[in-house]
Amino acid sequence: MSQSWRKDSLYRDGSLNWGRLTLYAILIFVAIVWGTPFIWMFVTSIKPDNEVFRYPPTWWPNEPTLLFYTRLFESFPMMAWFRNSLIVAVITTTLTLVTNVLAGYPLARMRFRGRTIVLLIILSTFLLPGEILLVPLFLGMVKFKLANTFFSIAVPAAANAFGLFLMTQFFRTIPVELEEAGRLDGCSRLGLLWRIFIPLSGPAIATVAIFTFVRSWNDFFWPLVISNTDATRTVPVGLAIFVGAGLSIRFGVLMASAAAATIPAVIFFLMLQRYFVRGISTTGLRG
Amino acid sequence: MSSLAKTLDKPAEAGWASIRNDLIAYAFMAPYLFLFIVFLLLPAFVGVYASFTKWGIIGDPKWVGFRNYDKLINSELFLESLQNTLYFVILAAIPLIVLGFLLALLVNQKLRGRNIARAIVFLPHVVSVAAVGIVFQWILERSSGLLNYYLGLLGVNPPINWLGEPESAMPAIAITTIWWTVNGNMIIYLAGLQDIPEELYESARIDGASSWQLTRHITIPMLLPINAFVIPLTVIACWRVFGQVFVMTRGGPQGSTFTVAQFIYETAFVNFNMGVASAAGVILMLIPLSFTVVQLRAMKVI
Amino acid sequence: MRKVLSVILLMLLLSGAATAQDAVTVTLMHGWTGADNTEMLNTVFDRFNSENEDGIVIEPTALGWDDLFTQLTLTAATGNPPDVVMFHNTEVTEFVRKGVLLPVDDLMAATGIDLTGVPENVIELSMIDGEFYCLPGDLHPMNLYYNVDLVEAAGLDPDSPPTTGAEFMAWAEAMTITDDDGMVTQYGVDQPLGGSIGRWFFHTLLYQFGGSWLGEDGLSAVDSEAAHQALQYLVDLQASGVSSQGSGVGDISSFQNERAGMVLVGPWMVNSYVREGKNIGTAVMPTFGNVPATWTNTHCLALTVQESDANYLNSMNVVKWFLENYAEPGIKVGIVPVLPVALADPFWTDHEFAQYYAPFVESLAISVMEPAIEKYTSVFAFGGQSPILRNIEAAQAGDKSVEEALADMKAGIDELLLDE
Repeated sequence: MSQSWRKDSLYRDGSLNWGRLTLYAILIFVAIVWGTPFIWMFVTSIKPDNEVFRYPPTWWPNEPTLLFYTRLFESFPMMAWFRNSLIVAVITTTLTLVTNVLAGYPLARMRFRGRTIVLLIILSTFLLPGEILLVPLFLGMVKFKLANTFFSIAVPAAANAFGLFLMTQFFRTIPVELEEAGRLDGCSRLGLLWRIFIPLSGPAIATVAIFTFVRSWNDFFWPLVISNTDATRTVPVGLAIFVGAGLSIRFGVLMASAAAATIPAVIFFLMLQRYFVRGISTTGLRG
Repeated sequence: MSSLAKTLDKPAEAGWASIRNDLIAYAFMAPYLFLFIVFLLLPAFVGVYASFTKWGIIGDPKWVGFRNYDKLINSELFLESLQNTLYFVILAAIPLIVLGFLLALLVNQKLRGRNIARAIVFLPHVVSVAAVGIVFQWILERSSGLLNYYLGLLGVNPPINWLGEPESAMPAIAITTIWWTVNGNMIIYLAGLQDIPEELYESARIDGASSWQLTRHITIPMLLPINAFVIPLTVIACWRVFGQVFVMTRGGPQGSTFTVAQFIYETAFVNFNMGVASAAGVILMLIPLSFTVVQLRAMKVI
Repeated sequence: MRKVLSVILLMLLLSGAATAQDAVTVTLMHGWTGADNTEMLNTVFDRFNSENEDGIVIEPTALGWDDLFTQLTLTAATGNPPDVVMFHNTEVTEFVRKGVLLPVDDLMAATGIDLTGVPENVIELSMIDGEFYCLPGDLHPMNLYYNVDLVEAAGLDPDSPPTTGAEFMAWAEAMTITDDDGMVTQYGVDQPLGGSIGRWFFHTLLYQFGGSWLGEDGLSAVDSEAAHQALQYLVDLQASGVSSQGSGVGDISSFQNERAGMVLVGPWMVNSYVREGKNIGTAVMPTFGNVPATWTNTHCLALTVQESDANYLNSMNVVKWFLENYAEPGIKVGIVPVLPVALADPFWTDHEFAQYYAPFVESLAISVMEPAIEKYTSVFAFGGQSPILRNIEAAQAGDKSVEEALADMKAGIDELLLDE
């Protein structure tokens, strides 16, 4: 990637490059527009009740307070909700990765009977509105005495087909020659997957992990229906109770809970993000 | 790009070898297929079956044939929700696609700080819909909201009652949705941009092409196949809009943001009419099906 | 990747394990969500758990109201509902018809619950076919709040708040301030377009003008002259320019923001306004129509039908204790207890907020509830399907004439009522 001249420079041949300048201006504008809601969320969350509605809006409270956060952690089992969410997200993500890597291989590389049908059925579930699955799933879980367990919250989410689709597309981009070389060395299919496909799929695996983890972390309706004690309740469900429904809208409380729910997912994303664009970039979405 | 035929194995010979090959393939897929069948396919079939029944959750379903579908087609409320959803698709899908593309172009430029900009634009993706909804409820708030304050400084007076007027509520939901999800499309376009071989640009530059010409004659044509993927996916996601609406307006004012997904949710979990709700779910699935067929063909998956 | 895993591991270690419980537990599902309410209720439940020597432990579950109805139906469908549920009297009929609730006359006698002194209409609503299915705990009528500072700034007397529609309008006009550009900078009243507050105000006006929701035939009666007058008043109020027209999703932020002089809402806002440092006053709902009336609802406690009757008596003891100790939740949630023993509790009578609650107690006599019909949660829903909210909003916004809106409202309600 070494360049003989610096492409990001504002100057070219000694004079100001107006095109560049405009691009920088747009870039800064975009960053402000997308960043402001986060900042506003945080600033509001540390405002005491009597400062929230101050007009014109202030970008820093006179008396910043962490009251809403301390209440969240002291009066509510916030750590238990965090732990539950984490357990659920880890189960879902692990299960998704293992099953998708395994299933993605034959779908990408093998010719077998029923391949088209299987793909078609799996992909068509992208269209399924989740709402109609809720009640049958709930009744099934209760029937097998699984309601209110981590199993019931975490496992159904691993049936989502998005990760499988991504893995399949990614595996298709791995050069056939590598696989054939491996086969000449006497590798079994499982060996090929383990020694060739998985090591080359870091970015795709990271991408599926991020998508799955974030979706699981933010899932609301299913955990709400299936779990009803603090022993299994996840962060979004717990926070819905903390926030409350009703007319007494308190934006400080709302913003503190939104921030508290968001931060772990942000951290998870930032840790994995350097793999992220690469993961999508090589999944061969261009067909 | 290797075509499908090249990436797949050669056709297996007939007989035992071919059966063995099939068995291996299904053995690999077995863990996923188990999850898929038990937690997605079976409940979905129960849902489709329920759409032909009268079922209040308490008690057993009673077969009623096509009566639920008949009811829906004649229900003003349902047709209105279809109309509102279509309006949302038009309002949100086009900016999501165009802006997603433009943002990808922007953060693909060799600019200092582009990685930070990328991360900032992508961040909303990890925020839950409930958090997005309440944060934007606050930003769009009529009398003390941030947006109206700055619009006021720009001379927009009187302040817009974003979520309180039927005319502005759906655009407000669309703005929120764009902020929240445009990054998905941006990332996909960005990935496409990075797949364009640098040599194409180099040789064009040597021929003296301007950067606009590069964009016009290389970038856009090279990204066309991605549109076949992004457009249907965006449209389908917009058809299913629910969370933002549910948190921010509950379908109001005057039902102007009442969408099909909310119709399904309320019919199922407020009125406990699982039959009608499931039928609406089936319809919600069938409408964008045409888009998916186009999508799958474009991706050459089938 | 290793970094990710180690962080996850650390968080798992830090968070510790859940504790198991062996005592007799009574599960109680309620809809008082929100930081303040949940905290407060937890202190009440903790008190019960420590005071009670029978070894009964309350295990509460808080859910938003809509989610509570969903969960109650789902858990009842699978034979595993919570022992005790707390919701509103208006929903009792619906869940009795679904077979979810238990008749409790015998248990009331066994535990010695005494309802003497509870308003007659509330007791009636708690009984179906001559049997008690729930026990009322409180009422929360809608009344008038005003911002004393703004009232004084407008040259009005905060000690004599409006009692009639004309006085109300005079106050609203006096407190509406328009700047040089014709922009309204302060509203007289913070009345949102539609929404729950719109519905409750319409209900209030409907009964003040002598109307009601249902007719003799069991179908909607909102095509009446009274309904016409009620909706016309709401429309005129919006048109007069003294009203803020917030959005229907509980948007009464203008009053919260001290940019509106008055608001009509239930007692549960007292705590939040006072805590925010507002100088407020409260008064009984003015009479806009022919007779005094105001919207109210109750919270009540009911027992669910269980597979075994082993826990019924324990559950009823919990209910009894809760009703008799209603003063603390009452004052902190912002609701008015109905049991005389709770109303006489020093916690209620001596509380610094008692002055704000006085008009709410006074208004119990004129309070009217929505009909507790079998389809209550459908007809009186807060979501987008509600024919009531949609048509009130449409009329207020001028998209439908009052006649059209009421005709459509009746058609919508009747359709829900007739749907078997």
